[in-house]
Amino acid sequence: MTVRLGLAWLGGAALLVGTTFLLDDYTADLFRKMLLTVTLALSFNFLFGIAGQLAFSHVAFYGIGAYTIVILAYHFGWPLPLAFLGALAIGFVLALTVAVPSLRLEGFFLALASLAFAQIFTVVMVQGGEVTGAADGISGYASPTVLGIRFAGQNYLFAVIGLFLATLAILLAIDRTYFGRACRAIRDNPDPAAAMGINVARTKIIVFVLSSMLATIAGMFYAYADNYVNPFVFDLDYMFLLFFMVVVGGSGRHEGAVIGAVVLFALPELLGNVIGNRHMFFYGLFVVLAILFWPDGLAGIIDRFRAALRTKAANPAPIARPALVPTARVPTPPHADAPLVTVRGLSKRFGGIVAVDGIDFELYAGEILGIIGPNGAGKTTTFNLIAGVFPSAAGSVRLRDTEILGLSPHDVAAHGIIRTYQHNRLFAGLTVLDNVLIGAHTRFSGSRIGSGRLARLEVEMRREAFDILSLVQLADQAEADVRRLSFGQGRLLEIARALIGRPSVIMFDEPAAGLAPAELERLGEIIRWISGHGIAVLLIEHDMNFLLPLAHRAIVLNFGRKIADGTPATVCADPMVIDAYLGATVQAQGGTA
Amino acid sequence: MRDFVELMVSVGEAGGIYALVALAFLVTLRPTGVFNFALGEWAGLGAFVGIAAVVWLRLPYLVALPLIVGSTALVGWVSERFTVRPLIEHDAPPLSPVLALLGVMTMTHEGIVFFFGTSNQFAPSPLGAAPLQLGPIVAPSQSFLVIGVTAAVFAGAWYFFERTVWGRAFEAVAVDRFAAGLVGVNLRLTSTLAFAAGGAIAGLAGLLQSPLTSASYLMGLPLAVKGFSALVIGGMGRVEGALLGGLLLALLERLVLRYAPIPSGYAIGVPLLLLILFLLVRPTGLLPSKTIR
Repeated sequence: MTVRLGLAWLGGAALLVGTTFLLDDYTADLFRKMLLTVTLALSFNFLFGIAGQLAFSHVAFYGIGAYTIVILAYHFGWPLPLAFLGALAIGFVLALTVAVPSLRLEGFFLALASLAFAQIFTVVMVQGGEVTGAADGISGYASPTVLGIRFAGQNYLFAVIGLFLATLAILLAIDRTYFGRACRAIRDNPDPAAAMGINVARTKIIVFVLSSMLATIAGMFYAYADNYVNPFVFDLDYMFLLFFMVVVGGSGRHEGAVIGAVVLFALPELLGNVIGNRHMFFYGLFVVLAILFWPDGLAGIIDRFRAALRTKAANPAPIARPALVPTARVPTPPHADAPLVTVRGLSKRFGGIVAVDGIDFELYAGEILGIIGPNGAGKTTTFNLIAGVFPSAAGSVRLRDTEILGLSPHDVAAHGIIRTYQHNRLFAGLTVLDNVLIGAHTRFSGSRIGSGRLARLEVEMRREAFDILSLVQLADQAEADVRRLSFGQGRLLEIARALIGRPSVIMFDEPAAGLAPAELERLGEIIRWISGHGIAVLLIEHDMNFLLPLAHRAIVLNFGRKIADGTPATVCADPMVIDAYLGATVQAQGGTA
Repeated sequence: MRDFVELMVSVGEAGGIYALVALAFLVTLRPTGVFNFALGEWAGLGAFVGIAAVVWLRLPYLVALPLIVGSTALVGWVSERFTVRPLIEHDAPPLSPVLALLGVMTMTHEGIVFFFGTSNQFAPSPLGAAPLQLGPIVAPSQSFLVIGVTAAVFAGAWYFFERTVWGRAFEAVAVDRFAAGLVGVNLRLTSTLAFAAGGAIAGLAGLLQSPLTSASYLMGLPLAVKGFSALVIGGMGRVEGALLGGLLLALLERLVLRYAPIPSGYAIGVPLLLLILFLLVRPTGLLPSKTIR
């Protein structure tokens, strides 16, 4: 940690602690409750804003933490550390119970299961008899004493400040790693995230459990705010309020969660006379308006304001990054006469339609193999089968000696087979550089978050990402929003994203489509460069003028079957290919190529 | 035997309402891909507009009915037109319409509290309070009404989706929105109608529910939870799935209430347990969609 960062944290902590000395009893109570709400909004923002998961159980876990520690420590007389661990364990098990069934599937299932869970939590607390104190809740228990310090009054306030800072530090530490990037990638575009080697379901489950545990811990602190817990504190109104805080503040940003929580917490206090106690109506309205007109929330508005001030003040020169010499090193796989990829009898049917019908081919290291054929011939389906998109298929796809057919997309990617898409599929909420770094996901795996190894790896990967971006001539755009890239630049970015993972095979799905002539030429150079580094290239392409000079070999598909296989020249001379696909005129061109 | 018949009537009554809410979710979800969490509150709105029309204004039930159902359909129409559609047409992130509808849900809830207060309100049954005898079955008249209306709505929905061009258009949009647009399905109109129809069906469900338990500002959420649980149980692809899911959920709930030694409030855990069970074991629901995959 740099000295400046350390000072910033120290300053923040001092500011918060200093504030506590200015407060009277009433404002101190507001202050600690606001801090608890801000803490809860931060961990919820991680789940919802950063990882994009719609869940309604966050406040229920807050309540589980509060109730459990009180029941264990007060009713059962457990020592406080043990009660803390017990509550944490219960939160963990319940979070897994909700997450595992609903997050293996795509769709709104987590939202449904977590909403039902939140509802049942309130009912169980109300109906819980003597254990939960029913509708009256539990009160009259003493503030805890840890190491001789009694956590009440000012001390309690310090503890809540500590909780807030610790939660923020944990979330920032996670967010600034490959794991945080993976969460955002999944939020923006889950399929290509999986194709880059991210285990989508596992990542989502980890995020849900982690953020629910943070809520559980915050709940344990809440239990000693008034030494009183009751079911209605943890009802769904509070849950929706959290939602609104994150959305109005600017979802996906830590500062947004803090700003949103502070503003929506403070508004009813400030405007109590104007809007009465039905402020939730106006918050609902705010959210609708915010989503429609200011999707970046208050944090986005502040950003724009600051950006406007900055251009007026300084008007800094554009950051010029010299185009780096391409130095990205990709190790050449050991040269072998045996094929790198062997496909045998690959088949897939959809209902009664056979999309791919017993295809065989081999792919060698450093080879560029073209796949051509009319629309509907099964070219992209073949890619999808190799990439693991369809769970059921017949045949075999071996990478050297490993069977990869039947693996899920992230496992295929981890084996070093990476694809690009026919229509660019980038991660819209990430910068150009971060989009590339998503491609490096598998190279980070196994590094512990917070370890020095991960920090070094991150620096190394950033340098390598810059090198690869210069290779595709995007280095000067590294910090730009991907939505500002042209179509051709987006295509090149996908290639950079594929390259940084050091794959042994790259599958290109019609990379030339939609590119300008200059971009085409560059693309051809890049593909040659890739193959020159020993990476096998599988290339679906309709543009014969582009493909034929480039490919070492080509196979032709028609109605799901392979009808020809050989050098581009022989394939183009094949009467069956001419009949099915090329027609006579292209044959002449192919012959001269 | 008497016991069994009574059980079946109560299953039909509760299950019918769950099934209607499930259907409201389904008709909105299929063509738009948007899960409208506000539908539970719109059911509550239907119940309270019913009280306003029948108790406050003393309108005859047959005059009030189109007003009630029309008002929740209007809320659906307006929500689609001014929140969902602009978001979809401006390529907002896919979750945005769902979030905006959460805002609409809260506004509906707070609106109900503002106009009708937080105390439970008695709602009369259109057939009167006296029990009705139908053959060997004696049950509250409202139970028969719920079962009859549910059967009629589902028959109509089934006919619409399976036998009319418009229904096929809805289905086509659900399968492939882009392709349906290319072959001439009016995507905007489909989406607006889906929200209005969802609102109307939810309002009807709330209206039918209110004489059974009286109308409460808290009735929306439990109805929503039971409705979407029924949908997951029955399968998200088909109208029949919503009906089957609703009835099955009600049956298990009644059996638990009758035979399990737990406080009656815990019966609310049944939907959650079934939801988790189905997500683990059979995520497509009992009647999977007919789409080929």
